[in-house]
Amino acid sequence: MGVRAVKPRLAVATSVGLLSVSLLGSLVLMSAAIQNSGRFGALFSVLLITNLLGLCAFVGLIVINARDLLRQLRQRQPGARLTLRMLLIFVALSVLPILVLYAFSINFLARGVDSWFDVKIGDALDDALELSRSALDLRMREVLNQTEKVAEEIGLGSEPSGVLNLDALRNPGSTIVANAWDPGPRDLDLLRRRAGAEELAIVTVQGRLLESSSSGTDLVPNLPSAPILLQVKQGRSYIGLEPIGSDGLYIRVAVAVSEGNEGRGGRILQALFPVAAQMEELASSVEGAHAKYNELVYLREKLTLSFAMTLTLVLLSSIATAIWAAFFSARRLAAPISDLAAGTAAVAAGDYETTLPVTTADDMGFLVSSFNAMTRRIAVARDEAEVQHRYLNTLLAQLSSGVLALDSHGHITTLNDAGRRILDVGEATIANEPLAALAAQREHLRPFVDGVQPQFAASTQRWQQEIQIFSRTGRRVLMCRGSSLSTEGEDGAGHVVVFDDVTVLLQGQRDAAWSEVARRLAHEIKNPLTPIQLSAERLRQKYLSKMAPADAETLDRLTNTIVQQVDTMKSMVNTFSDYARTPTINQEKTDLNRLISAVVDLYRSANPAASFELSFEPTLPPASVDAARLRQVFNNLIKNALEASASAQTAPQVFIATRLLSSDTGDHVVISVADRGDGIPDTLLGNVFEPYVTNKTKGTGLGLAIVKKIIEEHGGLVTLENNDGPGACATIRLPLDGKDSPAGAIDNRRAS
Amino acid sequence: MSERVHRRRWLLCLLLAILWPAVAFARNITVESVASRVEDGRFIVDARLDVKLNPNTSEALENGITLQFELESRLLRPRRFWWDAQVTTTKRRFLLARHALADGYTLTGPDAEHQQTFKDVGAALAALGDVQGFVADDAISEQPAKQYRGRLRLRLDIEALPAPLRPIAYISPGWRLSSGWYEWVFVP
Repeated sequence: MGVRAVKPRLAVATSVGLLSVSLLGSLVLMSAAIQNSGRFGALFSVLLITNLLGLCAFVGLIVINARDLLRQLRQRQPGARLTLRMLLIFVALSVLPILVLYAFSINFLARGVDSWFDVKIGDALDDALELSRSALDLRMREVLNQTEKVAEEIGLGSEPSGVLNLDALRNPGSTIVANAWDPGPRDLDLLRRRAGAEELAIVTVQGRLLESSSSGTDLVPNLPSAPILLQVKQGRSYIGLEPIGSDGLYIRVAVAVSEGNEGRGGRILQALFPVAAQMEELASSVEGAHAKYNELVYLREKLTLSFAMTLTLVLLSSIATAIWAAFFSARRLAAPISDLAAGTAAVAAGDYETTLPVTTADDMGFLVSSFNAMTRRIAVARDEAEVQHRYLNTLLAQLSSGVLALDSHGHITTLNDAGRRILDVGEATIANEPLAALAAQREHLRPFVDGVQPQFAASTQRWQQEIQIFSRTGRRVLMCRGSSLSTEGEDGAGHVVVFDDVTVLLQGQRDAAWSEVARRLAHEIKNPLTPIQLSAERLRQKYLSKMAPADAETLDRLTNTIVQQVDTMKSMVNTFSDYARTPTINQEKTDLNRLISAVVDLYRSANPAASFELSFEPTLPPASVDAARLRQVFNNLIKNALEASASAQTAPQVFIATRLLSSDTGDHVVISVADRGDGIPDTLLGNVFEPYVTNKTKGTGLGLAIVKKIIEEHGGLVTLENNDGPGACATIRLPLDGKDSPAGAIDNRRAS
Repeated sequence: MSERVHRRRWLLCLLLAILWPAVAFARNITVESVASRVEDGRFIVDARLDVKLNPNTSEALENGITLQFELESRLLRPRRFWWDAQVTTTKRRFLLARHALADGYTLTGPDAEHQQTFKDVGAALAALGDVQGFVADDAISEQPAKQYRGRLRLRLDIEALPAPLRPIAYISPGWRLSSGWYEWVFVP
């Protein structure tokens, strides 16, 4: 964009520069034409038109530029306002001094031109002219007299002879033949010379030349014009001063030739007298000066106007040039700033890839290159921050501990995946929510929030606390460790809470303890049982026959009781020992669907009232399990389900389903056993898999504990939840290939 | 009915507005009569023009400004499907000036030698308007035709005025003195 835009702009600038130079040139010529009309006078009008056209071109350019700027302002393009401001400054800076200069110039011009003229000089010139006239008047009267005399002579003259006959002149009664009168040239020449005239001519009243005499070489006499003839014809002699061609001033006299004999048609004598050389020179000088001065006086206003017009034209051209130059400069100055503004806006909008072309090597260029460097660095920093952020996110996601970060206002900023899982908040967006809102929406988190929040208030640097919450999967024990995020010298910073679900760990510890108890119990109790039983049987055998019937009956009852109770104890101890022992699992490929069907068939025949609904995954692959032990698991679960449904009014319903679950950690089979019974009391929910935790009146309380033990031995997981409706649902998750789960591994390790 | 009258009045007003400049700047020079002939292959025009000065030019003349008049004559040969061919075009200059010392007016022209002096401006203008034997520069024998069109124009040459007057003279119609082209058909 930059380079391409610069070239036409440069071309425009050059052409406008040429235009302004030519305009200036023609203005100079025009002012020269006004001052000295001789040199450029002929060009004046052309120059005027040229200047007007140049001015129009500039005005057009300005209009185009102004329209562009207006459009940019309307569109709020970056830099437009700056351009406008600079434009106004430039225009004000350039136009105001020009206007001041113009005002003064016009003032000076008007006064200056006026001051050249003076009333006194005008009057003096008028007087000089009048003086010349009166001086000439004297001479004119003189020549009029002479001419009239000559006319008289001609009028009286009868002799067409070469010599003037004085007698004939004196005697008016002498015979004159008018038609025959044809005075020869010599006569007229004589008269002319005597009168001192330059030229004598006799013409008819119609202006036809009859005779002439001239001292010069001109063959054609200078004849009187029609008005003169008319005047003379009317009986008034004409006398006038006339400039004739380049010959100078002459006095023209025209008089009627008085005729002795009327009816001759009338003749007119015209004489031209030269004015004395010195006189003529002076008179001409006065006349010339007077004429020039008069002209100047007359032209004064027009001259002032013309000067003012030229000045105005110069002013307008200057202003137009200045405004255009202001446009040009403002644009040029604003262009990099506009680019910068656009770039900054882009950066503000998050586009850090913006780079601006560095076109100049001045401060602006430095600014632009700095801007480029800045955006580069920001981009690098942003990339680094993104990498860091991703790294941190990955780290947090991979953590098995939950991490909850809060800002200084107690709003949640981060909760990692493990945290979500542990707190059971699902995928809900909880960022920027206050911690209290977390508890308001999810009641089970209330103990967590209530436990954690006082720690923030206490502002202890580090704290540790065990908090119990009750989620859908039962009681969870969370080990929370928190610390303030405040850095040095910073107050009111956020907090971070790291928490682990230690329920399984505690459970494992408890299970191990129970196993130990059971093993010991079995061992310690089982040993004395056999001697007790044997002793009781022996006692009975030995003394029953010997005793009285009443005593014998008592003994029989008592020993029987002992034997039975010992049996019961034995079976109980066996169960304990079953629970406690860790037999090797004989894993073999088993079709779980078939296994479950077999177990269900047993119960079906035993409980015809109960209904069993089976929903099996048809393509369930065989799983590596110990079939005998899993049979026990399903036995226990179905038995539990039926017992839980026993108190219900309706017939017991048991739903058993299998499905295949493929995940990153391998294929699993998920088996769920659900009933519509009473469900599990909330108080027991977290501990149902522990020994002796039961709500049943009978039973060892080991059923579910054994289930859990077997499943964990298979590397699986079992959970027991209350349904949304009535009843509970036990869910078993078993690895298909029989791999050990971490929980199973822990158990196995402890057992070994 | 009245509406129509109104409309007519409006039309009249509009017409007046358009024609006003033409009315206001009515010609000061009118051609009264023209006679033309050919002598020795040369186009000769006799004409009588009525020349009047307007206030501006009159004032200028009285104040010593020389008025230059240009008499231009053209002979055109009409062509049927094209512009008329120009056979001759001739220009003559007349200078009218005030002579203060003689208290009169001098009319110089058609050449510098031919100068006349008049006591009053009317006589000078009459002499200016009296065109006798205006001979064209070029012979017409080269382009013979049965019928020609003659053109004549007398006008004040504004370009010959002093420079300070010229812009005003160009702008103001009060300075325009021209007969316009007077055209006549001429059969030699």
